[in-house]
Amino acid sequence: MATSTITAPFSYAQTFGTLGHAYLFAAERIALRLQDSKVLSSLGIISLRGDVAGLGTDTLRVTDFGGVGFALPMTELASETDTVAPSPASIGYEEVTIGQFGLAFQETYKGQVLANEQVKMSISLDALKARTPDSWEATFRAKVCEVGAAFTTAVGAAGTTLSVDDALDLATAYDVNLGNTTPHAFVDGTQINQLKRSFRSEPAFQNSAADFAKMLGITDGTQTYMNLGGLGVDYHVTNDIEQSGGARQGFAFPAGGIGWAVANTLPIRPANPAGAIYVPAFGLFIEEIPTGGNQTIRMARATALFGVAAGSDRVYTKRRIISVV
Amino acid sequence: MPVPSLPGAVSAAPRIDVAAQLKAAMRSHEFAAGASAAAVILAPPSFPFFLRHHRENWRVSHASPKSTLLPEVTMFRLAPGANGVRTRNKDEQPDAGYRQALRNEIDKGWMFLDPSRVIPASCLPSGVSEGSYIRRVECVHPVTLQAGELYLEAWNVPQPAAGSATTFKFDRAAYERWLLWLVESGQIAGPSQDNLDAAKQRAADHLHNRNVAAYGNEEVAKHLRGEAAARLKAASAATLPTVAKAKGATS
Repeated sequence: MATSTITAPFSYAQTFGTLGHAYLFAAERIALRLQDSKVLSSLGIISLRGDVAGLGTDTLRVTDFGGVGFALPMTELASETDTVAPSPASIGYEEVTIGQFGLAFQETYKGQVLANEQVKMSISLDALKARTPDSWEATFRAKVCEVGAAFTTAVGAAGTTLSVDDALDLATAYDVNLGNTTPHAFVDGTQINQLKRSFRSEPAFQNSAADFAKMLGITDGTQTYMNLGGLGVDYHVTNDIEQSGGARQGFAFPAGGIGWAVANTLPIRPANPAGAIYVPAFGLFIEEIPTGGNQTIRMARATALFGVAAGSDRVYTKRRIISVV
Repeated sequence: MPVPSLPGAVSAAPRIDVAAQLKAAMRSHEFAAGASAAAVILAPPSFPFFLRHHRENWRVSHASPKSTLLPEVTMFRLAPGANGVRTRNKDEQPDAGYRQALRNEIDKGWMFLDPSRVIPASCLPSGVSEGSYIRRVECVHPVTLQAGELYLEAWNVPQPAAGSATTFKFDRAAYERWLLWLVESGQIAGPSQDNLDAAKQRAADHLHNRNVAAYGNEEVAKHLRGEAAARLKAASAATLPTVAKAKGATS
């Protein structure tokens, strides 16, 4: 065993090696790194179209109809004996197809035994299981962004930064296509910054410090700018926005313009029911799986079954919001 | 209408076997800039995709010497869980997960570009070899450090940089040459005068927005109006591309 003689005066330098600590963990809770934490499922604008569990298919059709009611005024009759031709109506559908998603973690028994509080609170298997809903949200968000990036019509341009003109074009799309509810836009951090910079020179904001501050301020963590620029569009910011063709592919839609289907996971009968957690509303299932052989390893696995798809262009006005990468 | 499929698809996941040339090109790109031979692309893995065009989507060129109306081409990812793409069932063909989704999109007016068609070197970034528009490279996730595959457009070139994640540079000029080639070679049907008129009208509307805005500072006003005027000038000067007879389009 190592011994050492401490000579007078006893200094930190001499005692450090045997009696001291190179460092101690701060008593405060272990800090989570920065992450894009935009939650879309609770916004109330991405509608749940239905549950495919027990239906024998992974695809849900969402029907729409038109050419009736407000879209079909009555015909003027020139003569009281004129006949009235029966009117047709129009029907159509869109589809939502679910995908399967997975996530797994492992932890050794020794790791569990020796883990200090920092580990238990952050990266123990139980802590990671508790964060699975966040992973579900991140997956859901990415899928919504994939769907938005596939909208047909766009405002903005692949070679220029996003500007007030593009925000006006977006608002115009909803001004002229009547019947939509308030639109929501989804852009990435660079796009919202491009918009803010462009709005800085707008005459309307030169007279109102309050509006100007609301416009240019950084969000408080919600990553949402309500009614940005007073144009009636709420802007949500996430860096899951897709890029293609050298352009950022933001997007906008009114409530319901993107929908999702879930497969309720309750019918799953796992090998180890005691370790199972069902979150049927999200199509999420978390289970504990014994690892093979004699390994002293604990494993948790999450499975999710859901799909996201755009609603019909006949029902919702949707736009991509593109700007230079 | 035929639905395109990825050449060289294998059973594990839809993928394209065009990686070797590209990988060589991209690695050599990194070597040229002094990166180490062990350089890896630090980026999250991604699923393959098709590029596609909708007949209504046209735009004025930004990086071409001559102002031209070009087709807008966007990506359609083949990742399950979005846009009708599903997780394949056991023992299904590699394209079974996205075949129906593509058919639905084609019905809506999208045409998918054939990934097996070789792009001329003149339409690619310097150092990237001839091949498909989709390129596959090996990557390492910057956070989890798990290895995977990253699918890129051929013009999105990884840049050698010391950092926590690889950055990419999109070669706009080469990309626009390719867009023009798509029309000139007949793979995409050419635009109409209406498409060009719509682009001009939009640029004119933007200039009007700025002309009627009462900017507080004359210098700012001059700059913003000049910017919009330049875009209108480019749109006004834009011409329709010379169109060959349509051939080989997969739609």
